[in-house]
Amino acid sequence: MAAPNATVLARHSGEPSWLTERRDAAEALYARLPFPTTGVEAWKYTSLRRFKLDALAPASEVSGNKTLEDLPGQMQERLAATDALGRLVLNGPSVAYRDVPEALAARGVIFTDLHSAVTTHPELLERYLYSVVGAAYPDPTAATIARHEHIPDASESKFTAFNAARWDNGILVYVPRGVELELPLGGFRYLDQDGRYSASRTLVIVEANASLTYIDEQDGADVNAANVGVTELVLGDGARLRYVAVQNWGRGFTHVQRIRSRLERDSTLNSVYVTMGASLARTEIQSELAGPGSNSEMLALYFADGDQHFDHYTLQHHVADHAGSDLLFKGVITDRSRSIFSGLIKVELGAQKTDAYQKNRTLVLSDDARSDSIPQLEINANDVRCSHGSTTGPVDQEELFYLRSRGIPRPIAEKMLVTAFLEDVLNRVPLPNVVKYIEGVIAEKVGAPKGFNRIP
Amino acid sequence: MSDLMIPTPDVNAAAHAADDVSSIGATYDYGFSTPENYEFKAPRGLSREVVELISRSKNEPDWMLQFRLKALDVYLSKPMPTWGADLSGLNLDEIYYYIKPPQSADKVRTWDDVSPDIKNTFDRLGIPEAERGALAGVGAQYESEMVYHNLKEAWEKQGVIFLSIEDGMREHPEIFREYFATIIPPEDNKFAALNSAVWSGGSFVYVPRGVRVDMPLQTYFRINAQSMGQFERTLIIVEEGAYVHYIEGCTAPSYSEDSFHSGVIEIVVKKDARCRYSTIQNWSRNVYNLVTQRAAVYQGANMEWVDGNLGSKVTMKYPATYLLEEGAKGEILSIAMAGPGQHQDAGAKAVHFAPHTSSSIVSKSISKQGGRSSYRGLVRIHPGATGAKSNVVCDALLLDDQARTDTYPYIEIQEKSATVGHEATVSKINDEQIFYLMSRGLSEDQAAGLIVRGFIEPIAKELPLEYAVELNRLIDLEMEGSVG
Repeated sequence: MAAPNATVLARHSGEPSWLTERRDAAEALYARLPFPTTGVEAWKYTSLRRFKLDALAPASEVSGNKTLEDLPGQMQERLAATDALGRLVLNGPSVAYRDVPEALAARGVIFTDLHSAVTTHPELLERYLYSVVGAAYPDPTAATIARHEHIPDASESKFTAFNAARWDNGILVYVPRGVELELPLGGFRYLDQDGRYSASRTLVIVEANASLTYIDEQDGADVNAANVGVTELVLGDGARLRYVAVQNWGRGFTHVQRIRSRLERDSTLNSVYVTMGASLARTEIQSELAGPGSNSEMLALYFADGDQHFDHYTLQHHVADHAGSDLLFKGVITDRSRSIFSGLIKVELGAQKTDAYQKNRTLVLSDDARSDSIPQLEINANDVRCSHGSTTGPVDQEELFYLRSRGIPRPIAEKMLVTAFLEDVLNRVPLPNVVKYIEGVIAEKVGAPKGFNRIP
Repeated sequence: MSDLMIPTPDVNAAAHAADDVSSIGATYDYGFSTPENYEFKAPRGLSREVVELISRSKNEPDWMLQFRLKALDVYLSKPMPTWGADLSGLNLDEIYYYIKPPQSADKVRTWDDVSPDIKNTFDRLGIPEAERGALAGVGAQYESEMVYHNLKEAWEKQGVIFLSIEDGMREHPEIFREYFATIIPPEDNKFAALNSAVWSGGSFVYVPRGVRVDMPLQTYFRINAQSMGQFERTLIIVEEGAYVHYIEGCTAPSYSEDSFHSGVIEIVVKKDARCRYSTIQNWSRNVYNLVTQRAAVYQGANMEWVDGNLGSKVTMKYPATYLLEEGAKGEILSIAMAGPGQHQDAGAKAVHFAPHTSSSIVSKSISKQGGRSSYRGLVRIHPGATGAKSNVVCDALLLDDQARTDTYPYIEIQEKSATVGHEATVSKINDEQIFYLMSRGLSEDQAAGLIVRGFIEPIAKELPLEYAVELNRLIDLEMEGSVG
């Protein structure tokens, strides 16, 4: 078992003692826990045999200027296209670019990298960091914790322990009570270091009756690297958060991320998760409806090609009554790729008037692709509306026939149908700029010109 | 037919209500027991000696003894399942693995030959009466052995074989050995291994090519002793173009000590044949019911499972259909009702190996008063099963705030041209429907009963009439006073 190396320890030195203690405890836990295997229910369809996390070194600091022009080309391009009010770029653990208008601070909004926040906002971190995803075993946020028939396997806490111990940097967003931000904030992460891992962490706190749109993007070069990430979303009473995550790491990446939100009374989360990159991506997305009247929308779209392996593990956890959740995951698989969707709606005793919906649709474009879908329900309250659906199949032959009868060649017609299939999710995201960017990423994958399905 | 399915409001409802839900066990009509009456009872617990003793008492060929002993090793080497229902209350060391009733089926030809105590039991269950009416053949198992097995002459003449599994092994060794344990080998799962080691009783059915047995065959399983383990083994072979409908019914007395039923049912449905297998499982609330059922379905053939789980303490049962050749079809209808202390972990499996195979699974469950019903299913499409289609629909009805339901469908697709759909809903009885019916003069109980019967109707209508009536009657009993 590799201990954290000296660089990492040095980087953490000078942190407050509560944080050092949390890191040390998590490090000890990480060392103790087994690595997940396919013998464990939560990892049944995803083998990590070739993922040697302990053989990777921590991503190193990237020095140099912190201007727009010094960023990697694709990052410059990306920033030019965003309408985000504040932008923060992390290259590995280092802040590569920071554009945070003064006006934000004046309204009490905090938008900074996590490393700096340790010095500037220690109380805030002490209160919220690890509050939604901690490092503990038994782990109340383990992938299968809510599945009452499974005692979560110890390995399910392996990566969250790793991240809790070694997070190298990340982003903190804090919106105070009642503050409503009209324009999005964007955090952009980049990694192009071969043989390295990044352990990034995101903490978003939206206080009572505040509102925020946050864009969380990950981009990288095709290198043998890993991201072991954790995202914590905290929504106070009546808070509104629109959260957009775009994972577009390079090939060669292993991406393991747990994103968990806790929703207090009458708060609303609208989230969308786009998965395009990495060779192996395991994304655990959990929403805890902790307060009555809270509402969580969970959307995702993904397109896997080549040897890509995408594993989505979701949880809609209804603890409070009168809460709603609506999940729609749409994915396309082609070549030799695989997609796994394992989702659970869990309604606790007393969570009456729950309205929960879960749908997974997979489009299969190749004979060698494989799709596994396990949409699950565990319902302990009776006055509820819960339903789920899952469909898997090829491109609709009648739709294809129609397009071809209109003179559109088969390959183009197929691409149009694939794009339209994913567009369904994007239609529910009212952020034109972000949607345009995601469409571009999709088009690149589908092999269609950008926006070709759009009537000008 | 419809007025039989949905009886008009019962004028005696008030009388029924008197002995209602407060003591639900009291409404279990089959909870009576007769004094234990056996020729031979193996000691409690499982051992090599018990397995040898079972084999010896059946005068089995040596290969079967070897098969049993090997299965015992497999059983001992496999861990208990950590998923599904809670089996911690199942004390496998306290079970009687073999109880031989005073006589077995090979010696009797009519019900009059059955020993009076046992005949009395089956009389009370209405079996001989049913045989005279609507059945082509009847088998009855009491504890570990079949005590009665009879097939009407017309079918015998056409070459249909309907025997106890032991007689099947003895009288038709070539057919028996060709198929036995080929569909469900002992290695399949822990309880299939256990059954393979200690199996006793069950039916052997063979329907020759082109023969259509248009009246159902039925076998009735009865556990009478306490802490009894019943290990039914059934083998059904339906040759090309043939048809059979096989029904099994199960009851047991309500004892304080738990009993255990662990069956293995293997079915082969050859080209263009059709087999329907219906279960009305109404074990008393002290029976662990862990059953492995699987059908191998060949070209153009059709397998239908109708699986009704009303009784037992714990049931784990997932009828499986392996669609092995082009055009094979599988249909599974499952209904479960879970009351206090019950866990119905039911479901279905459809595994597609060949092109243009299709499967349909419809599951309906009703839970109340702390009862838990689960749907656990698998749909798997193997590469090359081009154009395969599968559709799964699960509906769960929760009658009160203590009820609980789960859905665990596994959908594994490795074929591009396959079309697979799954949907599930969970709801309570619709208040507006209740209100509507009450405004028409029905009591709340009657209204709820009517709605529940409507809910299960798609499955009840697939049962032979008298079973549909019986199912409705059971639902009525279960429903009294249970809406709240």
